[in-house]
This record gives sequence, structure tokens and C-alpha cells, in this order.
Amino acid sequence: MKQNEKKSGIKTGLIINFLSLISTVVLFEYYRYIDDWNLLLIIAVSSALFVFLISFYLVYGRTGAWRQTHRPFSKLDEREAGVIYESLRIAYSVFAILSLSILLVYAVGLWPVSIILFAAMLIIAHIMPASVMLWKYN
Amino acid sequence: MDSRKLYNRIALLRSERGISRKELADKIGVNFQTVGYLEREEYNPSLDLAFRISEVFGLPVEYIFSTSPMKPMSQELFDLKK
Repeated sequence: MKQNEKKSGIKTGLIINFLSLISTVVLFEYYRYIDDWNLLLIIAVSSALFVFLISFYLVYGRTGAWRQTHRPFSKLDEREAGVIYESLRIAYSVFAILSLSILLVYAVGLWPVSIILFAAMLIIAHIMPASVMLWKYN
Repeated sequence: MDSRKLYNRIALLRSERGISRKELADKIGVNFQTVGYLEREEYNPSLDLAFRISEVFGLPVEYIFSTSPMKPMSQELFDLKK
């Protein structure tokens, strides 16, 4: 029972983490569109960034998922190596589809790719294997 | 190719010898969580790991692992007596 609660808590944390990252990018893109910082926008961006950082620490740091996916293969046992391999394989596919879709949308809309979006994509590429591992294997 | 489910007596042998998951994990060179997965039969070990486990318990590998559900020890003893 407690284990199930923990699992659903991790999944909720993952969703919050991704949503806060997406919100940050959307708010920055909105700023680019209106080209004017206002107090509401500053509060919204700060809140989204704060939620992202806190959920990042709770989901990837506290669970040990970050450390696990960044350990050298020689330090993993055979089950862990299998789990990491499978997570990397899925993460690679998801990231490839996601980044191609975003680039397609930007190309169709004739929008220039911003540095914030680029940074967000780098962050997603980095956290995706740990996210897949947490989602699939808990 | 889907691998078959492997049944084992690791949990029974470990509690019989009074060793913790951590101690067994250290002896066979895996994470203690992997021992939990093995005991719950949620992970099939490699041949190398299966032999390492059999060496720790000093028993033949076919006594610890099986492709069919294992009989309770009391049943095994009863069959032996017969």
C-alpha cells in the first residue's frame, strides 16, 4: 500500500517536473512575443522555475535516480545495467520524436528557435533516461 | 524471445542461514535490491550469477533454481523418506 503510494507520488512528481519545465519555456516564448517584462510574468516565470528545481531535487535527487543513471556501467550489476539500457533505449526514441515534432512545429510556424527552448531540450535529453526508469521501473 | 520464469529458493536459503540481503548481495557482487528482485522471482539471473549464488549456499544450481514451481521443503523431505 505504502509502496503504491510512493510509486504514484513519484509519477506525480515527474509530471509536475515536466509541466513546470514546459511552463517556463512557454512563458519565455510569450515574453519574446510581447517583448515586455511585467511583474506578473516575472512572478510566473520565477514560480515555474522554482517548482521545476524543487521537483527536480525531489524526483531525481531524493530517489537516487539521477545518481543511478549517471553511474559508470562497470559499477552496475547485471539487473541495473539491463534497466539502464532499456531506459536509455526508450528515452532516445521519445526524445528523437519529441525534438523532431517541436522542430517541425517551429519550422511550419516560421518561428526562430530560442536559446531557452534549446536549453530546455538539453535538460529533457539529460533527465529523460531517469524519468523513463522511474516511470517504468520505479 | 521471451525468457521463461525461473523459480528459486533464495529467500528460504537466506533465512535458513540467517544472512541479510545486504550480506548476500555483497557476497555475490550485486546491489541488495537485486537480491529482492531475485527472491520475488521478478528477475532471472544470468548463468554466472546463478553459479555465484549456488557457490555461496554450497548447493547445486538445480537445487536453487527451477523452471517449474518448487515444492515446499517439507514435501521434498517427505518424498525423500519415501
